[in-house]
Amino acid sequence: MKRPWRWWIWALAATGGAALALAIGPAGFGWPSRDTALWLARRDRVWAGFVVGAGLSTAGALMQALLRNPLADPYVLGVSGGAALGAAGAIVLGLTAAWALPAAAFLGGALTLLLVYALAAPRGHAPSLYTLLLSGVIVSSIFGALLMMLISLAPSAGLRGITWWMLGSLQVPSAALLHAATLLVGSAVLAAWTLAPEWNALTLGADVAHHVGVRARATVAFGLALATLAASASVALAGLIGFVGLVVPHAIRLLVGADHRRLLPASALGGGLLLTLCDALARSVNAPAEIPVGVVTALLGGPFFLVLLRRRRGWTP
Amino acid sequence: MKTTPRSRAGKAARLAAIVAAAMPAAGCGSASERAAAAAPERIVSLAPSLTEILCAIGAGDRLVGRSSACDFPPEIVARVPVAGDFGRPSLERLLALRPTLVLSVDLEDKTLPESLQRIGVRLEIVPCRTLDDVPRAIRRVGALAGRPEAAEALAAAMERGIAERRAEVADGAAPTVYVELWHDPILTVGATSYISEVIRLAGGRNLGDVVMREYFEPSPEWVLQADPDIVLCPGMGEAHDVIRRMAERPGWSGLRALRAGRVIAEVPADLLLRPGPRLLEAVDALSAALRRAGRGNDSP
Repeated sequence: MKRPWRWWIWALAATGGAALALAIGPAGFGWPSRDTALWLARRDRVWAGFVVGAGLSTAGALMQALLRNPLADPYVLGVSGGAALGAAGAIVLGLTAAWALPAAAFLGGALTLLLVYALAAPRGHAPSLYTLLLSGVIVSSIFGALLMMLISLAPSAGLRGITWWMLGSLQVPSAALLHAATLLVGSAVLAAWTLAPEWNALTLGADVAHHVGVRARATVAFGLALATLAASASVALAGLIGFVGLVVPHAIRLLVGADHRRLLPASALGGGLLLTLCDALARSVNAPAEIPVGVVTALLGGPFFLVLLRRRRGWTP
Repeated sequence: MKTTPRSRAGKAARLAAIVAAAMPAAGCGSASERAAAAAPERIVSLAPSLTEILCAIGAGDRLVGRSSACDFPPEIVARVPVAGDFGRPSLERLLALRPTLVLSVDLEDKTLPESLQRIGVRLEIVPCRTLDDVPRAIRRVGALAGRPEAAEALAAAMERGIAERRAEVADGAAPTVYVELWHDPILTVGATSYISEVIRLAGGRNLGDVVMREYFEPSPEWVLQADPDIVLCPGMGEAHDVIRRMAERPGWSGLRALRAGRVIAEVPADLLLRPGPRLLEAVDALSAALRRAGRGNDSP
């Protein structure tokens, strides 16, 4: 079944969502006047929501295509475990510079992917997808154990930081970090979109891809690197926000089909939209206290996805 | 199998637990009471505030174990071994210290009192969370540790000090204070926290008092809207670092407190956050810092 791809609907929805999120906050409903502190705070937060949402969903869509596994998400290859471990390490070591924690998270995520890939690849050969998934899962659980060990060793103030960081938050600690994450996620999303025909070929299997002229091994490796870049940059900015990377690509696939030329931009916009709207609720419903945005994404996004799934049965990668 | 001293202690503890469980509980309790009357208590404190109280009333020599969070006074930290974490003892380490009395503010494991009772160790929970709890806790610890006179003197002096400072605090003109205990995501204190009471007694008003919780994660734009007179950041580094870090957040560089440099970072976190015998010291240190912050710059 071919569904019409109306890109302007997506652009319109994203703009409308951003406008709505700008008008919602603990300070009350209504647009803040331009260039006030409130305007800056809300604008950067909506901006962060779109960057992180786009980064996580793009990473998820890529991982699902490359690993040909519906349960793949940015975290399955240990990127999450590695990033969390990096951040926890920075907290336990007492590195307090604004850059230390996100940089450690980014390094942790990226190094973990390299480790998982090296472990899964027999000398000089491409790793099989199953070996890659398995070593990712095992490395994740080892890192999870190390993280729990760090938490039990951490001083109580640091502990608070780690646990909250693991729940995720779109508070922007510094404009410089927001700009850096935007640049990294933006490049990864654009590069992934440009290579959409390659991912389309890969979802049919490495053999088919080879016959249509796609160098499977290099393409998979490059795709994983792009996904890790998008996911690690998002995690570095916002901590661990679950659910978006796993479910948004599935929901978008049900809406626009599996062609990555549509799936990738629509996932980026849809993920950004979902996260931004959920965050507007997270900072408003219990004001002035915030609730973790990951809780809202799962509570709102989960049922929405199940409804979609029931209406359009079947899953196609 | 190689037997290490640790695992031997573990076996002994389990054996003791089994034996104690088999004995009638009443006889066990009266035996420990008789022992307590005869010899000075061997005390383990599982809370930093209670450890400070014990030392302040001169019962520090009876302390045979502390929690890993007990870091004051320093000479106690150097001498007394650790029996576990704050409110979460390691049962084996605790038993190895052969305590006759265990003191705590709260316990994480709610089945612990029963386990301790079975093996004949007396456990006392001493509430010490609010300003008014502190003199009560001092008297209670004094009675339990056999130093009632010293405790009474300290508690009475503290009650006088609190009453005097309450009388001094002027109505109305209190500057609003935004407390930040953690930066990513930001964490502040609500109306039921001890530090909120300390701020009030020092002549300020805690911005987070609108929320009836001990701690909560506020929305940054709420702080921006409230635009507090003073920012209080215990244990977050030097004031100029705090100002630089906060000004990087979107919209925060316009906050009056940051622009005028009214950021208090020099009062230590353990002093401000711990309801204990250094309460008046904490109030006076904060009160002086609030006055310093209010002077010199545009007045709050």
